[in-house]
Amino acid sequence: MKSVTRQEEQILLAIHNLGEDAYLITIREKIKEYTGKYYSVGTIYAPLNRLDKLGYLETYYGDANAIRGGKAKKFYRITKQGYETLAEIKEQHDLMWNGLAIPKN
Amino acid sequence: MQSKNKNLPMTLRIALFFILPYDDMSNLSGDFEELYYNKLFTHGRLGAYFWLIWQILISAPGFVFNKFYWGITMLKNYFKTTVRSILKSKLNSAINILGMSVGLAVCFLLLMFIQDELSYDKYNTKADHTFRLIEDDQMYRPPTEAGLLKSKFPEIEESVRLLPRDKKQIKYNDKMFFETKFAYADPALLKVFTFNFLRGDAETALDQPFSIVITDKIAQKYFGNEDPIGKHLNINNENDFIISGIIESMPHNSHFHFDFFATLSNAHDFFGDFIYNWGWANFPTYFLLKPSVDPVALAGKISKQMADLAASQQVVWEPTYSLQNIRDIHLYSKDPRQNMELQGSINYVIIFSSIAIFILLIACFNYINILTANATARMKEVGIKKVIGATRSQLTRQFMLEAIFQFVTAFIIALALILVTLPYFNSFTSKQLAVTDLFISKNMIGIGIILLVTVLIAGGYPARLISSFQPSIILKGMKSFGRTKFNFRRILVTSQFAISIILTISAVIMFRQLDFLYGSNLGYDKEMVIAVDIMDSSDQQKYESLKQNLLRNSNIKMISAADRIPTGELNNYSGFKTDGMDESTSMAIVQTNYDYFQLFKIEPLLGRLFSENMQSDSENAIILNESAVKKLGLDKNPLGKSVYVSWMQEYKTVVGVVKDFYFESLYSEIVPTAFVVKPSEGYRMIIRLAPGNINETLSYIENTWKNYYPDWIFEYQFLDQRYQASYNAEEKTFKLLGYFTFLAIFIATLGLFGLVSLSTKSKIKEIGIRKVLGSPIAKILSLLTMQYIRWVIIGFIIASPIAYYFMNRWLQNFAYQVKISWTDFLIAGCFTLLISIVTVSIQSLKAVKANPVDTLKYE
Repeated sequence: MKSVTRQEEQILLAIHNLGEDAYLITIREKIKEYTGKYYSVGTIYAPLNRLDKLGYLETYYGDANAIRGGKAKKFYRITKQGYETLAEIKEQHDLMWNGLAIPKN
Repeated sequence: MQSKNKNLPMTLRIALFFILPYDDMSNLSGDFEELYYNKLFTHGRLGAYFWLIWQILISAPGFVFNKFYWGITMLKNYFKTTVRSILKSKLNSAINILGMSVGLAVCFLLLMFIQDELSYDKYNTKADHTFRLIEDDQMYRPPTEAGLLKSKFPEIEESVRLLPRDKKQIKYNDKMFFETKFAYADPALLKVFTFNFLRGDAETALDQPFSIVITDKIAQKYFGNEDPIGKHLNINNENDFIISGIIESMPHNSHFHFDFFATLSNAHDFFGDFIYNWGWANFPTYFLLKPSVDPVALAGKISKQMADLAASQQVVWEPTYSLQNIRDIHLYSKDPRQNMELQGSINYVIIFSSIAIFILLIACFNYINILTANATARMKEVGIKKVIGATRSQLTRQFMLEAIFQFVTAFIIALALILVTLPYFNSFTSKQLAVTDLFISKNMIGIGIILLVTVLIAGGYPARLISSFQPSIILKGMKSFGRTKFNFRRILVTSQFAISIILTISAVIMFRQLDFLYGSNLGYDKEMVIAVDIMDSSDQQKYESLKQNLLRNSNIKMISAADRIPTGELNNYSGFKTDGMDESTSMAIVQTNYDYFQLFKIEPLLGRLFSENMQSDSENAIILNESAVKKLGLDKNPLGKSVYVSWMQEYKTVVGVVKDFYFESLYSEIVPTAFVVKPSEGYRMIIRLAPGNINETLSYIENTWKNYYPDWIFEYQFLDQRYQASYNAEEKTFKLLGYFTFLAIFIATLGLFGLVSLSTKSKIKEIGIRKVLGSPIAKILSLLTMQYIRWVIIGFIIASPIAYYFMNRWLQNFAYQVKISWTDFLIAGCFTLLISIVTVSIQSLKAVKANPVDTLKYE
C-alpha cells in the first residue's frame, strides 16, 4: 500500500460519503463540512489526481449543463483497492486510538 | 438573466487556460464555471469576478505542485530507463561518452588557444590608433625616419622608436648578468603603449637622460628587497642608467617583451652621430595616429613624401610604406620570424580552428550514429511502449533525455580532462591559458549552441525516426530501419572518414616538409662549431693573441671571426652598384676575417676565397654568392668586375663566387649576399672544435677568454643547436597538429567500432543462416567489411582535393617546399583503410565465429 496523506484520507472519506455525487466541488464542500476549512480547487485537485493515478479512485464523466459552460463533471468513485486502503487506515487508527481517555482537567 | 452573462468572462477563461492541467482542462474549467455561477447570485457580477480571481490565485500552487509531482515522477522513470539502457550497452555507451569527452576537451583547448592568439596587443588602450611603420616588408627602420615623418605629418600624434638589443651585460654592484630582453626606446613609448607602472611616473619616466624602466622581475633579481628607484645600472661596462620606474612584466599576449627600456632621449650621448645614420635600419617604429586618420591614405602620403625627398637628392626611389595596426602584428606579419619575437600566423589559427571543428564534428557524428544505431536495437522497447500508449512526444523526450544525460557526463569528463592536460598544453605552447578563460559569456553561448544542436540531432533524430514506426510492424519483427532510401548514417560515417583522411594527408605532408627542413644540406658545415663574442674586435692585436692562445689546445682546430655568422640573421644591408646599373640595389653584407669560408668548409664556385697572403684583399676584394651575382647582373663573368659598396663608400673587385648556401634558414629565401674582409668588425669569434673532450675544451676556452675580458660574462653557442632552435616553434606546431590528428582518428575509430558492433548485432541471424548454408567465414567477413571499405573510398575521394588545397596554402609559408605527391595521398588513404578494416574485422569476426545454433535458436 502506498502511503496516503491526511488530506488524501479526508478526500477518500468525502467521496465515500458523497456516494454518486462526488465531483470536485462537492468534495470541497464536504471537507468544509467536516473540518470547517475551504481548500482551493488546486489544493484539492493535486491529491485527487494522485489518488486517481495510484488506482484508489475511478472516474466517469457526467452530463454537461449550461451552468458549467457546457462542460462535463468528472465524478470520482472509490475502487476496491481504495476501500482496502481505507480499511487499513481505519485499522491503524483504531489501534492507535484504542483506550485513549482524554484527561479532564 | 441571459445565459451569456452567466458564463465565465473571457479574461478568467484565459487565466484558467494557462494554469489548468491539460488532461483535465475541460472538467476543471467546468468546475470553476459552476463556482462562478453559484457566486453570481450571492455576490453579484463584480463580487463573483474578483472572488474567482482569488480562487484561481490560491489554486495555482496546487496545480503547479501537481505538474511538478508528475513531471518529476516521469523524469525519474526516464532516468531509470536511461541508466538501464546505458548499462545494457556498456561498450557503446562508454565509446560514446569517451569519444564525446575527448572531442569536447580538444575543442575547448583549441578554443582557448585560438582566443589567446587573437588577443595579442589588444590590452593596449590605444591599440585602435597605434600602427607600426613598414616599408617593403621591412619593420626595422632607420633612426632618423620617425622624427622626420612626425614633423611632416600632423596626423601623427606620437612616434616611438625601439632599438631592441639581443644581448647586454647589466651590472649592479657585484651582480652581473647577460640580459637579452633589453631595448632602447623613445620617451613617447609610455604614451603609446600601456604599461602597468608599479613605481615611478607612468608618463614621464623616460624623459630624463640616462633613465631606464625595468620590470618587477628584474628589480627582484638585482635588488631583492632594496628600493631600486634612483639606483644605477651599468650597461655593457659603458654607461650607467638611473632607474626611474618599475613596470609589471608585460602580458604574454604582447608582440614584444622587454625587461629593460632605456631612454633614447639623449641617444647622442652614447651612440654619437651614428644615431643620425640613414643606413642603421634597426629601429621598429610605431606611430600613434590621431583618431579618424585613415592609415592607408597616410601610408600613401608617406611613400610619396619619401620618394620626393629621395628625388630632391637625385636618387630614384619609389618606396611603398604601409602602416600595420599593432593588433595585426602577431598574426598578419608577412614573415613571422622577421619580428623582434617569433610571431604566430593566421594560417595556424585557421588550421587549428578547422581541426577543432573537424574533431567536434567527428565526435558529434559518432554520437548521433551510435545513438541511432542503439535506438534501432531498442525497437521492441519502443513498440511495447507505443502499444501501452506512449505518445510520440513522450518517446522523443525519453531519447532526448538519454542524449542529454550522456552529453552532460561527457562534458564533465571533458572539463576534468582539460584541468589535467592544461599545464602540459601550456608548457608545450608556452602560453598561460587558464580554465577560467573558457567560461566567458561569449564561449558559454558557443558551448550552449554546440550542446543544443548536438543533443537535438543526436536525441531528436533517432527518437523521431523510431517513434514514427507502426508498433505492429516493429513488434512483428520486421526490420524496416536501416533500409530506408535516405541513409543519414551512411553520410555521417563517410564524412567522418573524409575528415580523418584530410587530417592524415596533412600530417603526412607536414612530416615530409619538416623532415626536408631538418635534413637538407645547408651548404656549410655547422657541426662542432661554437660562437663566442669578443668585446673589442677593433683591437686586432688582442684578437690575434687570444686566437693564438686558444689554438694551443689541440682540440681547437680553427678560429675565425665575422660580424654575421650562418644560422643567424643577415641584418646588415647595403646598397651595391656596378657600372652597368642606373641605381643601386640592396643586398646583405657580411664582414669577415680571411679564413671565414675555410672554417665553414665552403668551397669557391668560381675564382678564389679570401687569403691572408693577398694584402689587397682587405682593401678591395669582395666575394658574392650566386644570388648576388644574378642580382647585380654579372652572370657572364663576374670575376674581376668592380662593384661600388655604399656601406663603406668604396669600389671592390669580385675575386670569387660561392655557391648559394642557406645562411639564415630554410624558411627564408637565400638573400643575395656579399662578403668583404674587415677583421676589425669581426666581433663574433667562431671556433671549430675536434670531436671528443668537449667539456674540457669549453672550459679551456672560457678560462683563456676570461683572461682577456675579466669584466665580462663568457657565453658560447653551438651553431647546430642554434639552428635547431630556430625550428622549435615550427616543430611544436607540427607536433600539436600530429597529436590532434591522432585524436581525431582515434575518436573516429572509436565511433566506427561502436557502429560496427551494433550493426553486426542486427545481422547476427543473417550471418547464422549464411553459415548454416555453408558459406565460408572469409566470404561472410568480406561481405560485412565491404560496405565500410566503400565508405572509406568515397571519403577519400571527397578528402583529397580539400587536403590538397589546404596543404598547398600551408606550404606557401616556406621559401623551400617539398612537392605534394600522389604518394602522400596513397599513404594516408591506405592508413585509414587499414585502420578501418582492422576495426571492422575485429567486430565482425566475433559475430562470424558465433555458433549458428545460438544465434538462430529463437527462430
